[in-house]
Amino acid sequence: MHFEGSVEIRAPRDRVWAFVTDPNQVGGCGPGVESIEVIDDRHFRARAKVGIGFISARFLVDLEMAELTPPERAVIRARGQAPGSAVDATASMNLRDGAAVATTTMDWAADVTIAGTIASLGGRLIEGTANKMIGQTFDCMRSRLEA
Amino acid sequence: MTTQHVRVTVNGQPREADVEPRLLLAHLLRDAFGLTGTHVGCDTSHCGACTVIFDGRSAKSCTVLAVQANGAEVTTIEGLEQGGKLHPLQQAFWDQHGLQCGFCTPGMIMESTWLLGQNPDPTEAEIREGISGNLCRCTGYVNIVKAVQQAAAELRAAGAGTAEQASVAAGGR
Amino acid sequence: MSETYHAQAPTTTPEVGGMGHALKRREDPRFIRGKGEYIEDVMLPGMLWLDIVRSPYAHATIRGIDASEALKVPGVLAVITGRDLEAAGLHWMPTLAGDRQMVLPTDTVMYQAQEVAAIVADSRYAAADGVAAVLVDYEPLPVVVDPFKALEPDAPVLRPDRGPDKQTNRIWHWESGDKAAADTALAGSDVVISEDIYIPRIHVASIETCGCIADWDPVREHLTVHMTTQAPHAIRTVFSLVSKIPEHKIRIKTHDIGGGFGGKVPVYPGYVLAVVASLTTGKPVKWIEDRSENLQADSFARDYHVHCDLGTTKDGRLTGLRVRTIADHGYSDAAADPSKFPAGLFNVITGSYDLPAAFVEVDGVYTNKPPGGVAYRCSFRVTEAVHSIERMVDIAAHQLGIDPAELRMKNFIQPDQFPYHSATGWEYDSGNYPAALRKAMEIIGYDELRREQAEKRARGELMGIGISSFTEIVGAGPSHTFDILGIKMFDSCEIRIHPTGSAIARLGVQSQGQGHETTFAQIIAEELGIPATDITIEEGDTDTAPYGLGTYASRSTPTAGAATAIAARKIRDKARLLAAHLLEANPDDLEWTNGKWSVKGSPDRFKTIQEIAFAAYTNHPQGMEAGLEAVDYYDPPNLTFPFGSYICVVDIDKGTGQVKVRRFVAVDDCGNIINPMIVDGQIHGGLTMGLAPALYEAITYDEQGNNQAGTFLDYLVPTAMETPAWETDKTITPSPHHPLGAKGVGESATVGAPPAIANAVVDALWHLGVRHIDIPITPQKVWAILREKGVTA
Ligand code: FES
Ligand code: FES
Repeated sequence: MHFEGSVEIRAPRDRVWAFVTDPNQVGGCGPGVESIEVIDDRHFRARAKVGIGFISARFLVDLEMAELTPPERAVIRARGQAPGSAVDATASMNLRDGAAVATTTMDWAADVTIAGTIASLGGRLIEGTANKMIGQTFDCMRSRLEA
Repeated sequence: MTTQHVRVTVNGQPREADVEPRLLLAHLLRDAFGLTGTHVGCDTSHCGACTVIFDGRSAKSCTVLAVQANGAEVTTIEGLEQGGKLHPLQQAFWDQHGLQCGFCTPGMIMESTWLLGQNPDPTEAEIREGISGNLCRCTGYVNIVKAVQQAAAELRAAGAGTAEQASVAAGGR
Repeated sequence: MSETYHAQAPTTTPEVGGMGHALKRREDPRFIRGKGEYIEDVMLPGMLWLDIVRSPYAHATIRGIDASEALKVPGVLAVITGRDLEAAGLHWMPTLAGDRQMVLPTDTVMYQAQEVAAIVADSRYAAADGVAAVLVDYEPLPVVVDPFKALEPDAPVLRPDRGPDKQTNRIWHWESGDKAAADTALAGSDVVISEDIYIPRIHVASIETCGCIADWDPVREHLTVHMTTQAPHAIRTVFSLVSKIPEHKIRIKTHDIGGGFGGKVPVYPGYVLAVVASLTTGKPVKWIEDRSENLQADSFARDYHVHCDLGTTKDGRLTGLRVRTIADHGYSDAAADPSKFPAGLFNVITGSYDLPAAFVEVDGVYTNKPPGGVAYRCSFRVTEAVHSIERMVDIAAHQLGIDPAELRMKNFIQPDQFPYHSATGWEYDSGNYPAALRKAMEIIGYDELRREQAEKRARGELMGIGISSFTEIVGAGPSHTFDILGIKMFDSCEIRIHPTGSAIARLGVQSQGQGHETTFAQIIAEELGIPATDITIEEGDTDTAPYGLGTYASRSTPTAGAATAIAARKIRDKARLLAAHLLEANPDDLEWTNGKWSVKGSPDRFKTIQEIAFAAYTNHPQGMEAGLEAVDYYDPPNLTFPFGSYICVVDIDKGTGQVKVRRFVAVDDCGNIINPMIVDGQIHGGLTMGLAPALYEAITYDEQGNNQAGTFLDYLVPTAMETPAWETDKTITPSPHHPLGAKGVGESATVGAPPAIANAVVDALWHLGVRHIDIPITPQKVWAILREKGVTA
């Protein structure tokens, strides 16, 4: 599944960059994240509870900052698993200065593959749910940055 | 894991057990009480093989926790035969060849007891709708419908008999 | 519904209950009381539970398995991985089709929900907790879901473990018939009808799932496996060959089986894992799969992509048939087909028609799906064949503007052509196809329905009438042609008559609801005059029953039923010698009637079978062996060919696309009938398992190989609401070579019903320009077609 979009954030680019590359900050906005463990400056691990329809599963997700070009582009790769289910995702974020002063435009894209029980049972609900989760993630980032 | 004590009246007998809060009623009946007539055929509450009568209503015992049954009255297939006489539905399923492998049969019979309690004279369509929460892979349902019809007729006749006796006893006619 | 069976009048009294009596089933008293004993009901002292970690990916490399957290879960005793099995050489096992299949993978998972590791624990809940705690590190690989893509040159080779000459996803190529003759016939035809027909993957979904208890006794060095299997003896042999445990140290024991339909023929990894767990722990280990595991990982049926070219003259005389098929087998060919028939008996595709030329070719293909090609109340691809030819004949009729019934009548193999040699090499034993179709047309009122349809069509209503005149091919099979893993496909029965005249019979087949305890007793009652109620039927204990290949492919009556009759006749022959001794007569002067040997011409001088049985143990002549028993291993001389004609009437809701089966008349001919009540029950069930794939059931996969119908939420087994009130009737054309004239019936209706329904739907829509719709014909599909054709409610 491919998703993409663009968000305007009322915060300067270096603050946005610092936020999205800090596992504790950006991780806190991930859907259903319960805890984050930083392994090194490029790798971290999150525990997250995800529900699709009537099914929910607790995922253990390994994340990697795969590409960092400050303060322009970051790519995060994630691979998570729950009993009988797995998720693979790559998210890229491109930052540029917004039209107004001290604002940032973030163009993002995400490719997500879901496998196993969740994909079987959640079938037709997955796309909508994933879309919603991604939306929530960026809303969270924006509200924290603008706070 | 912590356990909880539950008391359930099963087929008229008081039973009790210490159970994990997540234990299913179906497993309480089968594994703790040895009543293996209640079957489990799915994990999404679709097949009805686990149907029992729970406080007077039909219930899928795979979808009830044992702890929820604390204080409840449960009737299973093993509780239908009275004084060595088959329940009219049991007899009818046998007479009409309403079963083949027999795996769906206890749930099907229990659901039918509830159905006939609600509607003593159901049409074929009402019977089909009434048992539509119970899957049978063997019979194609034709003979199950016939069995429910046979039992319904018999129960109505028996009910009419009792009503008549009652009215005689009350000095009528 | 018709209550007449038109069976031959029974020759025994109802008390004896021989053939033709609608004897109430002898197995039912335990089932209606909840006292059946299914595998999950069996509890052994000290028993442990096994649960399985399954792969979320359809194709991935396993980089590591971390079981440390699982081993900390209270109650978890052991974790078994592919590496553990590899050490014992048990990580692969043979399939019945001669391919091989992983028990647990060491390196690569091949389908979503594949077994990856097993947890052994002291309770079922602890085992499930253990499963949730195992961490597996996977590296996803490209997934091949589409069998056509699997054959493209750049497709990844899914089974590199096969020999260097087999580095392709094509498993095998199989041909039947005469290619040149078929090509010539088609080239000379006025019209050639061509169509692609897909028969999707489906799952038997018996209401009881699969399971077992493996019980290794380390002191006696003996293994008992209590299991849900339709073929106990074959399983014992396979277990022995794989585990190297001597065969006499293995006992397979079945209990009551909650439906099989072919899904309980294969050996699944769960069974083997339970055995390994019991060998490791020295305790009994139980494995019961849950429904989603059953629907996602057990063997599937069908998945045939068929292309047909059917030649015909302008006036509807069929001239030739050419068929090309891609068979999706998943990642392993685990079918239970006889070894010389990788596509089963699919070449019976010429069906009920006198087709002068035919050529059939099939390619088996690997994909990233669970092993397929097994069964759904028909394992030998007869359903695929019947669906294809019955659809093709119907398209031909519509295209030529000939009534589908008339076109069938015109092309049927005629009664005087039997035994009939088909263009693909089968010898049909007996049949009367026009009689069955005529009867079905009379019962349903065919001409009247056509008039009603014309009126409704004029008003814009959608009503269709569909016919299927199928020929089944069952009773595998003669040993010169049929074997599975080299074991010939005979079957067996052993009968012992007790001194007081009651009896026990043991068979190599295995009931899963078919009522063997009743029907086999009726065969013995018929042959020996012993009341059926005095006969115990026992199956499914390999320590006591004679060797046989089991129950599937409608083979029990054709093979074990015949063995039962012949064994009873052997007993009757010995009884004659005993009677002669008791009556002081010459055996040649005795005649057999109704359970007694009597002296010809003096009917009051006789001995009943019960008297003779007593004498066999108390007063047998010197020089004769005591006892009265016999065994027979029946090797059928040919297959049997049950047939029938089904007619279905559907109404289609223009607003929702919903297809409603208004009426369905099934006229079956399965030769002589043992128990008409049970035969009708088999047909009702079979019809419902024909309705299901026609309108509701299909296992589909997304591009990642995720099963999209892995629970009863998405896999739509028909309930009583969707199932119509089936109307059944019979014609009777006995099999000339079966000792009882019987043919077998278990799968006929599943084979015959889907095209009747599909033909009815297309018949309702043909005038809109609809030629073919693949099953399952869901409301969504019909709705989309109606919108495309501009039809609105
Ligand atoms: S077990 Fe299937 S509904 Fe309860
Ligand atoms: S009798 Fe087998 S499922 Fe109903």
